[in-house]
Amino acid sequence: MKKRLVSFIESLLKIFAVIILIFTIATVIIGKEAEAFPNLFMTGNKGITIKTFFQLFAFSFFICVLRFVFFTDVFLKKTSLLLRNVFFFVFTILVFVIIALVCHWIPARPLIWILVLASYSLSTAISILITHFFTKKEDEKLNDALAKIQGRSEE
Amino acid sequence: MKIIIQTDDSVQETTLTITCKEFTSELERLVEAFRLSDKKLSVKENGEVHLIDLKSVLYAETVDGNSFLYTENGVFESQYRLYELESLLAEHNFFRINKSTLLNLNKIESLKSDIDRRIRVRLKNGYQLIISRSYAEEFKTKIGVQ
Repeated sequence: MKKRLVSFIESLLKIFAVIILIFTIATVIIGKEAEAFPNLFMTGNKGITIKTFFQLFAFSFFICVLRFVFFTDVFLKKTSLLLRNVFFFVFTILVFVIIALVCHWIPARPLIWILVLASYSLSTAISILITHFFTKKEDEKLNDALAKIQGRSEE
Repeated sequence: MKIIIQTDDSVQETTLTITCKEFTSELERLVEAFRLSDKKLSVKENGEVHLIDLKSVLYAETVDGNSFLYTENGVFESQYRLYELESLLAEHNFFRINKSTLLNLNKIESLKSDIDRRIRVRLKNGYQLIISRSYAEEFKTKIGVQ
């Protein structure tokens, strides 16, 4: 239990750090021009407000909970890695939409919502495909190496 | 300990005879080492000691301090602790995959990456076992992936 809690906190801090880093870079690059997102980029390219900071922390917390649900065997025992990724992807979008609505991150203009969700979906789908590809390659390597060691043992 | 070796051309099968005052655990280990060179391991079943072929062992597991050997034909109790089995069977392609399991690598059907940097093992009889994160890296080194 203690190990799980430590692992959860570690994971939360890592996710939060990555989100803050990405958001800081985005603030510096597009902060001034991002007029369509006044609640996210309140201070233009000057920095992140405390309010946004805590909103991003809440977002990180929920992402971390989803990671715990889908990438440990506490709730799902025999689900494949690909399916876990797909579930995680669907639920992160849901969490993102809920937080974005509650915190008014995205203005109520359908085109902006479509663009944000499309770019988010595309980048997540690409990352899932890349992960799946490398996992498959790794599995092939493992099974080839195993076949060799089994062959040597039978000789 | 006195060691007597007699060679005889007419002998069909090599026989090892031990004459002792008491069959100590030290002697037991010595005998086990000879059995292992013949790829056999002694196990307990209903209080009797039997010999099983190492090739038939899928994996060894410790449950409540007792060690069990799982074969295609059944489960047998071993008189050895898991760490003792680990050192006895290391040369015979057995590998520790988590705190409580020692796996016969020759019985693996396939390997698959799993969550949390673990590896899911599918055995030739369809059983599935998990190589825990802390043993996965060592396992990869053992099979020559890293």
